[in-house]
Amino acid sequence: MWKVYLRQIRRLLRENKFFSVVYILGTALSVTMIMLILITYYINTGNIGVVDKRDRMFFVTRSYTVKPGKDISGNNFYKAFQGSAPLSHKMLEKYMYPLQVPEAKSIVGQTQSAVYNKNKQVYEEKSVACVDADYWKIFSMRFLVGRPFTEAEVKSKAPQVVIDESTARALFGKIDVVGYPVEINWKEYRVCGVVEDVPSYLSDAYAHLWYPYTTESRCLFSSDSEDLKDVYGPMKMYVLAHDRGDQERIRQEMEHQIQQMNAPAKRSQFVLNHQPDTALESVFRMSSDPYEKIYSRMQIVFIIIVVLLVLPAINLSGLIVARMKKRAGEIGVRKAFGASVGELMRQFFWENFVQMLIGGVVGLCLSYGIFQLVRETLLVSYRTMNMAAKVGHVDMLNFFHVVNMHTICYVLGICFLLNLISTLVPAWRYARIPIVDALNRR
Amino acid sequence: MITVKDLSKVYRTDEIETLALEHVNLSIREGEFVSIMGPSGCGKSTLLNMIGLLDAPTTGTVEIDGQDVSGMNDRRLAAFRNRTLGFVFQSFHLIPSLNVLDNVELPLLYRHVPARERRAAAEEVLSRVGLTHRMKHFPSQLSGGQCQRVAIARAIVGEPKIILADEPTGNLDSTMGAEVMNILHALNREDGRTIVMVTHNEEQARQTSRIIRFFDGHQIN
Repeated sequence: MWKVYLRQIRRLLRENKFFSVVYILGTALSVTMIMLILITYYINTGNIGVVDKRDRMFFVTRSYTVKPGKDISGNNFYKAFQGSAPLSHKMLEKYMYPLQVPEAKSIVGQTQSAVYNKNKQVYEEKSVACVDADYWKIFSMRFLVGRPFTEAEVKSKAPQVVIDESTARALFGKIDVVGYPVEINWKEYRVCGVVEDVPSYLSDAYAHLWYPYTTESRCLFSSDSEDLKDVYGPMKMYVLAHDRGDQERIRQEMEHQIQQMNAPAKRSQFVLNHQPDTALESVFRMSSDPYEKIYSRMQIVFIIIVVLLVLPAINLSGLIVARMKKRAGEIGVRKAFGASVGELMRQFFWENFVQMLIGGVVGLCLSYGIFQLVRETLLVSYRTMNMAAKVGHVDMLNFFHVVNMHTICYVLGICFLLNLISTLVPAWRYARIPIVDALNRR
Repeated sequence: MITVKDLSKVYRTDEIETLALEHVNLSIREGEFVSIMGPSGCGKSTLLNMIGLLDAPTTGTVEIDGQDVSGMNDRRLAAFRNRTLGFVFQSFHLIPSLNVLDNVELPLLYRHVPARERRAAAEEVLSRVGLTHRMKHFPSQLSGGQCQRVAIARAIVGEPKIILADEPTGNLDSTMGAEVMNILHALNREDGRTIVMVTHNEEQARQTSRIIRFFDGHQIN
């Protein structure tokens, strides 16, 4: 039966060239748009490269402070929002390091620094990360030579640095540079390891040099206001859970920790504002917005995707109706010779699905082309926006890093959904028209 | 084989009501070749559609092969049509995007017959109507007579007991019309199939075993 359907589809495609081209292009454009959204989403949330545990990574990136009070009537309590900023290392060390539920917790600060090889007189402006030892448990960096710095070295403020391959080559002309001196912001460090380059689109892990945060004064800055002492700073925390479903347990543990911090007598209080975030939530967490806003941002993107899916489906539905009208006689004949409504609907569904699949493949190719054109914009995530601008370039991303089995499944899923939405109503309507009307093309 | 009792068909729109058939009673025995005749608009094709279960009567019943079909749902009706009835239409109604072989196989497709058996059966009936050399052609590449022969092959491939032909020679010239009639007569005579044919052609009707005449929705003999 399928072979007969496929033969007929081939013939229909050839016979109705205009219709076929419009239909396939319509599908392709829709698939392209959704693919670009999905690729962006995948880059920011998927388990890719060194960020291969992102599905069980959670992020605490900001501190939020509120001021509790009573309204004019004196009956209703409220919490007035006071401010928001990244966190201080002291706050993270004191309240977040003791967390028991996660597998690993890492304090991270990302910035730009002047990097200098005194011997060779080579100067570079590089993206650097001041981190702790757990950082190397969270990300799967591949060490070409040497090793990461240890917890003891972080505690003892040992001037150790891990550098990436391109920095090693730029500064020293080779990668076997363990023990070599390098100056970061005019302070001398020793290279303890060299890792493969981390592409900038993996913004959570991206840097060219990594060194203990305890050795960098900029990372040790913390706010000194009376109520919010040691809350604000330049740092954030990455949490690696044992299981992706641990988010709520970790959140509860964090809430418990900050209760200790928020002594009742204090005028201002620290709130998590729904942190820790998943990778997706952290993409949408911007500035000081409450979680409701973050959530509504996610909903808007979801609605956009649905609209992108539904609008072309409605157009395609119109095209399908036009073609069904032309094929009314065929519907009548098929029913006369024993086709039931269900069989006819199945036939129309598969016919359109095959054409949509062709559209899906074209869409995949189109999205490849458009991806190449707008790659730099796509790859600059919210989190690295400023940094990427300073770096002045975005690493090359191979399209096929993100187009894998997952992506192909997405395309199949999109085609299936588009097909379902666009075919269902016309197929149902036309499969049920009376045989005599269909034969007479009324 | 076919029993029609007190059959009426009324077509209603918002403004008008048209009585297409009124209180028709008839019986057709197994192996008969019956012609239905009458002027245009007298209800011949409407009756054929009722007998072929392509349309539902307003009142009355149709009994085919001992089964009252009035209570059947879409699925059962489709299966019953598939096994019991074969259709030959005036304008052939071949599916233009299918080749001759696929068109002929159509009834077997809905009977879920395996592809190899379908092909063998289709080839056999095509050889019977003299069209084995046109199997891979599409309807647009055939003459009117050839199209009607393909339509007959499609009607008989599933070996139905009854063939319903609605002006099968209406779109053909006299030579091709005669060829088609010869095939229908052979199917009636040799295979014992019951054939009900709507026609305007008095001469062709006279060659059949019985003529039923209609006028303004009424059976007049």
